[in-house]
Amino acid sequence: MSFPTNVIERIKRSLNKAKTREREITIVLKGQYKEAYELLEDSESAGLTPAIIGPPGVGKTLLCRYYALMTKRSFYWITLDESTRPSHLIGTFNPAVVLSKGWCLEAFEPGPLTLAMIEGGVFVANELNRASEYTQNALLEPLEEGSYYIPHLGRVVAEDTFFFIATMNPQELAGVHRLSEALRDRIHVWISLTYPKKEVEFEIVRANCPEYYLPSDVLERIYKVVELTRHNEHIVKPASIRSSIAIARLVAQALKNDTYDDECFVKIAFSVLSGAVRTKPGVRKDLLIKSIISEALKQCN
Amino acid sequence: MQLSLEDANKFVLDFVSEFRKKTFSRHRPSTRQAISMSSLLSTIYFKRGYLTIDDLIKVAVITTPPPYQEEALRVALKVTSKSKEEKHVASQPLPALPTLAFPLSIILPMLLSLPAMVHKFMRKVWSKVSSLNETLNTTLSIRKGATTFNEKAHMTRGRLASTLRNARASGTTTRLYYEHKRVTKCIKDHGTTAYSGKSLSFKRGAALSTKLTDRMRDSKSLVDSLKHKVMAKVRMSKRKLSRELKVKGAYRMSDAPSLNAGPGENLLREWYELKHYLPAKVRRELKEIVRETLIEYINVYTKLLTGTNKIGVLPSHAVKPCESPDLLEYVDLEETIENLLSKCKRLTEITYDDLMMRVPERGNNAIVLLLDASGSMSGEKLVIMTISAAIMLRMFSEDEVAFAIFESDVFRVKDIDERVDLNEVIDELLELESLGGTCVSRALLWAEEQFERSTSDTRILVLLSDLAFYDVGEAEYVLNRMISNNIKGFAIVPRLSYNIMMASSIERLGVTIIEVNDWKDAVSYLCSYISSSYYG
Repeated sequence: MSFPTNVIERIKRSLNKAKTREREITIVLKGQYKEAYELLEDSESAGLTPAIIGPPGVGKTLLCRYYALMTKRSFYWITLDESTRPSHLIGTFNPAVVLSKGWCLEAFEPGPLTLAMIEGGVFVANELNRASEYTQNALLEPLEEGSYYIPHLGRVVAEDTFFFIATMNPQELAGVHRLSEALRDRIHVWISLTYPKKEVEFEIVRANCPEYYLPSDVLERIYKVVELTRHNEHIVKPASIRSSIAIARLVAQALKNDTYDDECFVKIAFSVLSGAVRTKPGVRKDLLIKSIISEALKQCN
Repeated sequence: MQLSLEDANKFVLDFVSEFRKKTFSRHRPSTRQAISMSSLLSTIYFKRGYLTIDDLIKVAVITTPPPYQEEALRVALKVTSKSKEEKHVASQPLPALPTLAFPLSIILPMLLSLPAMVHKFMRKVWSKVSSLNETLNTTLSIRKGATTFNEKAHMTRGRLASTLRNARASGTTTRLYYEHKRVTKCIKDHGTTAYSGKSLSFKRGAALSTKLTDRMRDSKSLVDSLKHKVMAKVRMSKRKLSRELKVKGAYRMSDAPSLNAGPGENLLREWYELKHYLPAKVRRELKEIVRETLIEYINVYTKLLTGTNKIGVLPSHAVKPCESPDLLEYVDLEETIENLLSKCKRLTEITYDDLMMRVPERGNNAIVLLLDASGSMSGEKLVIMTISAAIMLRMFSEDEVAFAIFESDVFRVKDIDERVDLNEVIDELLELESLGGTCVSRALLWAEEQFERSTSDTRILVLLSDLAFYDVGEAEYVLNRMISNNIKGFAIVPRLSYNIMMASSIERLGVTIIEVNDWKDAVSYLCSYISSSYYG
């Protein structure tokens, strides 16, 4: 199958753009993020494997990406779930090449873990505890020995600069999906990230809306709404920083268009939160979110 | 305070050994953790040139997995405070010996009175030690569980009887009582004439009678107070024993996932019985332990039932393109060749998608679980049904499952198209109260609604109840409608006690009744019943 030339050109352009974007990371390295970054540095110096634990949207992957960028290494990551197999990490043999040339190096298409190992890059296993035990066990060897046996090819040994980071969701950690005892023992440092402090979250939101001007009272409102979801007993998954950013961007656009008022804020916050928040069973989500928004407005006014 | 690497290493060893001593903790720091702590502290030391106590505590916490970080913090604080004290003592200069500055005239009489003082002091110490020893012995005897509660109760009852016997034997009260009775009877029978002319005797008798009545009152109050004391002791020992059982339960759980904690006691039953009497903090902690154990048990038990492959309740095989090179063992050669021929592919063009594999897979079933939590389900029945429901939820996790709890009302826990974490469901189950009447018809209507939302062909209704329904007519009507709509009905009933009349009437409608003694039976019986009803 052949693509038209303009499609190939566009794909090339897109690939280049992605490469440039990888080098531009907006991060606020303050408070808990600074501490976590330092711990990552210390863990690597001590030859230990760290895991970052935090609720979704606190910036775990971003921190890892930033770490890879700062240490000038390639960055590979994969998000694991029950359907992830070891071959998704290690790589596969192309059956067509195998049939024509046999089990040779040419037929092998390396996975992100193998690539990170041979390039000495940073590999992030997102949501590690969601993987099945079979896949989790496949990681024991790379973590312990820094090597992996690829059938028909032999053993691949990781470069010295290879660094493995796991990220996890704390809710999952206590529940049904848990890390196998063997893997848990091979993760040496557990770095916790929670929702950041008000000032840091303000900065993160501002940094992610560089093209807009956001007055502090608007930011205060946004933060209040998001914070109330984080302390509500009926909410299982509260709003993350991503939600703050989404509300902020929509509000900023409304400010720019001169259509911003209380009603507009309620509408924006409701539309963002109804997708971002997960409530306990039996709770009317729409009513709960509306009450949270009105409570936040009351507190801010 | 700046610390050296030597201090850090000492801290690591102390921390690990102290943590391992904690028998109630489910985490034992491994040698790997000790090494990690040491390496991390060394890194920080070489980076900064010194270490602080905060560094030690921080490293101890972050190298411990999250659920145990709070415990780690406590242990680290304890270890650091201990070493701080030791350091403080070591750094203090030894006090100089006191010089003899008093004249002999003062010291001599003091020296002479020393033996008496020593004797007095020793007596005090001895009495203190013996009382302490006694308390320790009582505590130990309760702790060891050498005497069970019943024995203890027997003992105290025996002690009460012997106290009463002694009081009777010591005699005064009883003798006085009988004397009083005899005299009163005499006075009554013979009247004053029997004692006529003997007014003095009569007067004496009357005085004696009053005296006796007073004494009787006194002795009665004495016996009452004794009785109260003994009862209080019984209650105290009972409380201590139950506390000890709880502790034992927690300890056993740390060894292996088991729901049988304490002699013949069920952990979940203990939880349901005790939860209202516990202080909030203990309740929270115990709930966490029960939940963890329950989840672990569910995981282990489900694995035992389902094995490592994906064969579920309704096993089936499907032929589909190969998803992953890991699954090459399932490649079906005939199907693959047929597929390649139909696509007219050359060998060099083959991809994994062209390889066809035959994999065992679970059928997509719609299952509605209805758990009865009415007043009649209290105790053992509720425990059996709760665990069964939790295991079924886990087992059918690949299927469409709806779950509701009912009594007079219906409490929706999980809709058929909803994704709910097992943790949350178990939380709800642990807060269950067996209260109210049993109105099943509304729950059945809800189940019917759930089935309507599902597109699955295999629809199964599982009723976990003792079938003591109030709304028999309505329930039968709805059940009949469901069964005629090709919904398979199963009622899991506790063999201990259930409404046989209702069971036979719904059995006539086509519902399979599964009697269970144990929650382990419930799930395995259900699986085999479902398989046999679909596959013969």
